[in-house]
Amino acid sequence: QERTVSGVVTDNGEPLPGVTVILKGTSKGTITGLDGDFKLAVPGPESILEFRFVGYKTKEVAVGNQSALQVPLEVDAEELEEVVVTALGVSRDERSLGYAMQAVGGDELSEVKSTNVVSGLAGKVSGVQINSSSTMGGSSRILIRGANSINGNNQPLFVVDGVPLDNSNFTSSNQERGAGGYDYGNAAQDINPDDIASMSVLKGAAAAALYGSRAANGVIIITTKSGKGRKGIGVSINAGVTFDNILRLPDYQNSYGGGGAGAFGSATDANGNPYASYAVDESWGPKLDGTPARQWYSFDEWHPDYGQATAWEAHPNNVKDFFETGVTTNTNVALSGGNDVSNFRLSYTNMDINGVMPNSEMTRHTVSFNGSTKLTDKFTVSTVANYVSSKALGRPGTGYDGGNVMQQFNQWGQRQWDNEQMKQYKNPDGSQRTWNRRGYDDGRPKYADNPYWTRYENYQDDDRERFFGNFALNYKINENFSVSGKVMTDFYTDSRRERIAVGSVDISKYSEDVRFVKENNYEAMLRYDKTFDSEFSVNAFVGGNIRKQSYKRNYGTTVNGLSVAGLYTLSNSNSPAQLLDDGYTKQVNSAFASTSFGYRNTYFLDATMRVDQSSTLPTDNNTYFYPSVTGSFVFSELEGLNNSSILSFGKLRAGFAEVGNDTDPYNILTTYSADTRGSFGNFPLYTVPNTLNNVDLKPETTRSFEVGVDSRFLNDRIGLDVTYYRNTTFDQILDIATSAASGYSRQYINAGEMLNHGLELMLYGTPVQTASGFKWDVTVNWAKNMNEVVELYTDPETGKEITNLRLANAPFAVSVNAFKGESYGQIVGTGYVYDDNGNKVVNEDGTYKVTDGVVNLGSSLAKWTGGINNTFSYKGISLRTLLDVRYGGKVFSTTNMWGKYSGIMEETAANGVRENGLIVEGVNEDGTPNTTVIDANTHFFANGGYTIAEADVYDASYVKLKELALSYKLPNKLVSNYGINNVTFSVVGRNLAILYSELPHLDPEVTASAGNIQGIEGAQVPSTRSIGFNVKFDF
Amino acid sequence: CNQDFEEMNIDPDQPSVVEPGFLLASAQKGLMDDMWDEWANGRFGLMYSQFWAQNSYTSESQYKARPSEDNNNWTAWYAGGLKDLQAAIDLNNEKIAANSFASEAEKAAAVNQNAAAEIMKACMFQLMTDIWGPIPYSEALTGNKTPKYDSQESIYMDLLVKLEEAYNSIDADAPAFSGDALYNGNAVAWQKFANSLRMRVAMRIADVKEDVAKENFAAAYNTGLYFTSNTDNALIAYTDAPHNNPLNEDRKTREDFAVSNTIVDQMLADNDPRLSVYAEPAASTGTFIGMIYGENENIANNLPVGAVSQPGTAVLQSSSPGMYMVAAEVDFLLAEAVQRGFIGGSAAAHFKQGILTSMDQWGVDKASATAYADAQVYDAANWKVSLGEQKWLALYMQGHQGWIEWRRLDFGILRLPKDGILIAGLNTIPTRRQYPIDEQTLNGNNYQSALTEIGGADKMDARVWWDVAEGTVVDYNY
Repeated sequence: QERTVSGVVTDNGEPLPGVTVILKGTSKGTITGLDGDFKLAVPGPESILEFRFVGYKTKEVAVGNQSALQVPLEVDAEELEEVVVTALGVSRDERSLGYAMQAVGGDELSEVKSTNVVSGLAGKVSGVQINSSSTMGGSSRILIRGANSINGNNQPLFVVDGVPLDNSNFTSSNQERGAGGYDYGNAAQDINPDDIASMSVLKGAAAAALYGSRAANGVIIITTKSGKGRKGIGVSINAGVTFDNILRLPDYQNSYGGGGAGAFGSATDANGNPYASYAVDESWGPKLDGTPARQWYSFDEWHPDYGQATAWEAHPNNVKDFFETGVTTNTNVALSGGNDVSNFRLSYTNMDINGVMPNSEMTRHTVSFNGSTKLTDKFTVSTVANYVSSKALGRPGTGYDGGNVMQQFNQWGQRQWDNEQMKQYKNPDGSQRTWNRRGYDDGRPKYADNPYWTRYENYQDDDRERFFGNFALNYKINENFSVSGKVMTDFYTDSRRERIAVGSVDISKYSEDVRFVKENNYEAMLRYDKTFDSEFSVNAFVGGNIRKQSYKRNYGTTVNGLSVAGLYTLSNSNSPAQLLDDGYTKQVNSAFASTSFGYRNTYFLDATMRVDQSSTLPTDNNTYFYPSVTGSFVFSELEGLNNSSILSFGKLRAGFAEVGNDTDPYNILTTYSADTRGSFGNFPLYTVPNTLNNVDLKPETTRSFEVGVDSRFLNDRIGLDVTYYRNTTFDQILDIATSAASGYSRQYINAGEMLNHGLELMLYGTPVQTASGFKWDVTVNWAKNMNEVVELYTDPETGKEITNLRLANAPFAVSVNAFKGESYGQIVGTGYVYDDNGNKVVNEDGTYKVTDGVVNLGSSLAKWTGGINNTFSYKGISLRTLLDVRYGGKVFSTTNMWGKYSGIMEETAANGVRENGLIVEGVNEDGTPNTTVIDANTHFFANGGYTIAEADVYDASYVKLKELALSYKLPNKLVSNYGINNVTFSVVGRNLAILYSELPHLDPEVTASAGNIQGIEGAQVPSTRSIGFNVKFDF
Repeated sequence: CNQDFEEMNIDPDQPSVVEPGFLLASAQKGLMDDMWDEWANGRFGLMYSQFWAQNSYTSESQYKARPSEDNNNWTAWYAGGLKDLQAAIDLNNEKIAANSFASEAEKAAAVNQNAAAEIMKACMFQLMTDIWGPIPYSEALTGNKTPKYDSQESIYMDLLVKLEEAYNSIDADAPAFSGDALYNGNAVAWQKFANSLRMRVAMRIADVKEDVAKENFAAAYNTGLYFTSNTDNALIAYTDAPHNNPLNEDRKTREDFAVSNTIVDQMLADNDPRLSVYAEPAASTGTFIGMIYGENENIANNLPVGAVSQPGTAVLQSSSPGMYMVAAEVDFLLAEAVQRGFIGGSAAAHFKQGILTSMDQWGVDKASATAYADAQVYDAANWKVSLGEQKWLALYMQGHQGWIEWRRLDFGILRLPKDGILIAGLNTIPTRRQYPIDEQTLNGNNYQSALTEIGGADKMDARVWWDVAEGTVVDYNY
């Protein structure tokens, strides 16, 4: 009775290799060959074949009497594979999952490539908020369902082919709060988009209970491409070039030049020409009316304009002209192959960036290998190895710091400078020339280095060499039992070097910072899979994992300047160089178990448990246990619904999970720290650290609950997935800021309860699909997260309550706090005084009245976020657009504060304010309207954010055209004669336009770093708009 | 496994035990670093006392400070040096309780070391209560996350007790103790500092607690052990970078401060020989020109640095000392004590000696010093002005003390900032600082109750407990 059927699987008539063909209800199956062909023995005509392939809709075909099948597969635009990779690399039928999970296809990430794979997720997954920095190679912060921890890590865990990947960024809190420093980026950017086959975002703790503590913030599971399903050897090539330019610069005023007192001073040169006040880094100076004046560059004898007066006039594009067109090239060559026994993929990627800042460049080489072979029928070995070597030079400085050229462009500077003149940043003797002279007779820099000097002399460079991968053995004991063992490693060396040249504003300096980071995991698992009577299925496993982490840092810096100019070594230090070393080791031992039951492919129940023992907690309290239970019910299988023409699929899911968490190493015992400057003469200097450790710490816990409905209608033309979740983290391990009068500015405690609850919604569908092949797909992601700090801390002895925690102070005006009963991330600072009618109250002198103390100025958290993804396709042509939306949340802008204070921004010279002064809108103490005229200078000083922080707190909402991709795939029949297949051309754009924003002068999306401190804008480095071209083909 | 884990969680890069002396030296140096730098001294002490004036970004000289400045002082002192002093005391007390010393001499040295730490604490707590008014004291430095504020009166009463106890506990015959960056563990030097400081503390409350002030002052005086020459001074002798004078470090990259016209005008009028030490002639003229105090930022920023007198090299060198207390102050305290009838003697003689000691401190030759001192007449009828002026001149560079003595003695001299005060509602030279914003947000309830002691609001013109009269300001006509 058993017979063999054969067939060909196609996509738009093109053969599809690698498609899984399964005889439904069994584990029997095969994979299509290079020509899309397959052969499979079937028991009889009632057999049903299931065809599955990543990125395509699964199809079932009744065999009937056919012996040669033609099976066209349809691309699944929503990328909702039925089979998804879940925790610990277990592939699961999506219908069986009791929790929300969203997948993003590899093509979506590699088509419009962002150098940081994290930022490529923006707008594509509901409930996931991405904040990307604007600097070359900078950080991207990802937050899934809000921040759970008040001041711990809120980033999800990244897992690549089962390997937990370190995502540290080692930036200082100064850098995060906008006070200067370089953004070296988060380490997950080492993941190469070209190697990604798929990415699954497990949003809740339920999905993640098996990864342990670090998964409480969600998990991003990345599966890299492999040679699986391939017969023979093939090569694919993907090459692209991208051009970057500045997306948005502030609107500058171009009517007045540098100075502080309006007109030129009385001092003139021998010819009666006035000097401008170059020592003043503000633009409240003389009108730019062409008056002959001595420009800053006219004082150097070698200069053609030496001694000459030239027109005092505007150069409106001076800042714009400073930036270059950035060029990024990306080339990927992948060789993959396979047969019945083995498969492999070997890929090399080169990414090369020339940044928009002068003298900035970055390269990244990635070699990745993925292979698997069956030693016997039962014994499989596989390995994944990735080597990443990256280098950068001239990353832009960030924040309120002279190392960031934006400080002098947007915060403290003069508007009239000419970029062509600025380029000559050195005198013939090598000394610096800058517009910011100490005086007309003293050319040394006062506050600001020449921006070209900053870029070409005070540059940093860094490199990172990284390896990550695994080695796995799998032994199938019998049909139901299998055992596996896996060794995973991720280690890298990160070296950073920073320089300040002799002759700069700051004392010359050289520092080296080297970190060695390593994490090894050893995992063993026993699995059991069985289906009883084709109705009842069990998948179960037990296992154990040992995680060992280590970190070592060596930092050295010169002290008191460099002895020999231009020589950057630690020994070239005027005073003995300063050294610092620190590091840690950490280990977590875990055991875990999971069982899944399925009944009639309709009812599913999962239960997991895990126990961890962590070296970082007190030994009498270092073991913690946590369970999860989830279930799903595919109601569309019910009698009466299973043949519905409206509802094509429907599933209800619910889950509960708990995740325990430990702390960082060395937060338990009290130690002393050495003064980093070394002994004072014969006196060694040691201090009590400012943070008080706690020997009584216990593990913290996150509890999460979620319910959701996944439904598809009209033959899957429309789908709606809704999730409600509620996460509570309590007993948080916090190093809370305390009154320094306690003797410590921070203390470790177990306290606090933070609640995040919200709604996630994904609506997708195909509004238009014509017989001619035109198709319009749209996916809308929307998520609203509500955050509340439920409880902070009550001292068990005194009963005194702490109701407010400070997360960070901005360099000047505000702090970011967590208040009991409100949402995390409140911006706190001085505010306006309002009368009972909501009018701002004005002082007698016509300036706004300021609150006596600080007040709450709003939360930095967004009210909701979303994305709209449209794809239009017609035959081989496809056009995809992505809108990224954020609504609500506040940001304090230091750029707006100083940019107005110093007279740089457009509004400081608009509407005649400099000439006529202004009357601010408000009322006097007695309620009568304010009629007092104040001059512009007073207004922007006394009514700006430096005095009234509220004046520079802005709504951070935006709508952005995030991605646009137009691609055309040549029909294979045109090119296959030449041995080439799948030739695709595309034109792609990233970060193309800000369609809506309330934040003046800046890009509202940009964050300073990937840390917890958000809501403070330092001196934003402008973000870039990228337009690129890409070609991809296989042979 | 737990055994391994316990070891794994011990930081290999940080010691869990240190010598108390490492903490003492760190505190002595650290407290001074944070008192003498361009923020605490530059933009606060030296401004409020008008020894210096800002010649760029002048808002602090017009009394507008950024919030981080208050926060940083408070945090650096409490969680920095003061905590280290407390930790040194606690470590010694543990050893004393356990009697785990090799010899009695070693124990005596430890007791002396604790006395030194207590004296340092008293010195700082007095400064801090003089700056802010009520501050956390009895519950401070204990780890209590929300320590209550103590009234200034109760703090002062306790400081006097602590200084007396410290003095009494010092064993002059004990061997030198370690970790003393002030006096190298010399017991007698610490006896002198304890008594000199007790005089300073006592005298500050002379207007509000005369009996207590008198009793304590006389007790300290009667020991005969107090500062009598500049070799007794309590100083941090800075060396080369990175342990150089903080203002020297600041000067390497910025030139924000010049010497104020308030002090330059006064010294020029009296032909004071210290002027050429305190200040440099203006580079552009070669003459002494004080920077106008409290000038509008836009005007001051336009002024070339060379147009005004910059601070003298004696105060800006890498090795220029940071001062906790100097002998000249003790002379002036003695003069005042005689004047107030606390002790016997000649107020005028002590007054003159104060001038001479100050001249000696700044390296002025004897002849010029004597000529100047002879020309200064001590006016017993108007002693607050006489003493105040000369004391203020002698306190040059000790910005906080100069301002605090102006508040107490009300001797005039100081002027309102030329272009006004940038704090709405403030019309005079501040008589205290506002509490740091961190205290409002992190220790809010205690902060609120502290305010009731200073008139209900966190105002810069509120007067602390010992400040009985409004400060006098010279109406200067520009």
